[in-house]
Amino acid sequence: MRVLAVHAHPVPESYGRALFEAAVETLRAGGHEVDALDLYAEGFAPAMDADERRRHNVPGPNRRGLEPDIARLERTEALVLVYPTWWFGMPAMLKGWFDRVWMPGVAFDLDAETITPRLTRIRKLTVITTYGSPWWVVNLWLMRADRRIVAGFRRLLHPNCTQEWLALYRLDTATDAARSAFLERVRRSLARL
Amino acid sequence: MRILMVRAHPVEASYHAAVAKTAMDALRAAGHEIDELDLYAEAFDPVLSRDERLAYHDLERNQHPGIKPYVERLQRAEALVLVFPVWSFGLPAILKGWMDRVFLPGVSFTLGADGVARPALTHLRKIAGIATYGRPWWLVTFGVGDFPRYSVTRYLKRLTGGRAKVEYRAHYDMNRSTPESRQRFLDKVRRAMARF
Repeated sequence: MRVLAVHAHPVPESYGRALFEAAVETLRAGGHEVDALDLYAEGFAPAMDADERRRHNVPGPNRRGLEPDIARLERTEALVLVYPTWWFGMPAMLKGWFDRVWMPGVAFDLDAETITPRLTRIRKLTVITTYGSPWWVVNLWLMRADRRIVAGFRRLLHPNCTQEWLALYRLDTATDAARSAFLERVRRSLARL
Repeated sequence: MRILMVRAHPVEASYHAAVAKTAMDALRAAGHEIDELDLYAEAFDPVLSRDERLAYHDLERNQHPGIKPYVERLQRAEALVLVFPVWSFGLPAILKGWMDRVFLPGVSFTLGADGVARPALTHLRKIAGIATYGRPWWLVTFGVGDFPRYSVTRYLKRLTGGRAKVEYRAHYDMNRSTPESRQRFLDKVRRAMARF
């Protein structure tokens, strides 16, 4: 399967980066064709500028300057996101990738009444994320806020796309054993993709 | 009140700009002191860097010269008004990046020895979110939930220790908006900000 693995963490020697590397290695070992997109390493610019905003809703012209990013998204059959959750969501770097690349004519078609998904080639979605907060804050108090955004994107994929959500809570105080166990969980999950 | 107004839209001649101007004029007319932070106009960099991440929990170093002015503008505010378009179900990256980089330990929260975060934006007495959505409210809310609304009414409020009064004004369904619906929303914003 062709897999696009997208990563956003500023520190190359971080645990977050280790999760990304484990994910990519496991997928490659499983025979998948992996496109590893490390947004920080590639110097992605997450803020959509004025010119781009003006043509953002015009399919065709809105692709200008983003052709390589769009091609990587359009050809993939599975999407794996690896990022730390900061505040109540993905880092600006990753949010900007969605803002800029998941545009009309690429991720969906928009007419007056309906939104038609276009990324229907994608049949698997895996999210791997870490939180500073404990489980109950994220899932009860925050009401799984971050998952709501991803649920929105999920609607633009294949109708039967399966989704897996892997989360490590309380990262700042997590023991080495907890970190290793989570790495192992990531490997196991992606070995089954 | 001293109000920090944060804006996040790249196009100067947009409807967003009209909304922001309407809000600002109404607030000024009501006697408030406004600090306008137009993130695009000030070319704010939303990307939290490696050095920032490594110094994040170090209260001596995490407010470096590049970010300190933004921290000070937030800290001197008694109220916060956010004006933004909803993109991809959430806040535009530039606004999320403002939170990622400015809402530091010692600024928006303090971390106790017990590892528990306590709110530190307790100087904010009021918060307003003013948002424009491409999609109708039922499509935003159904299944997914109105994440941008929660971001303001629930999460930001939490960082004030629950003390701030919060209001949220939204124009949904911009993709099918009419001159009348746009004008109605401007009037709604003007009235809301006049009594803010």
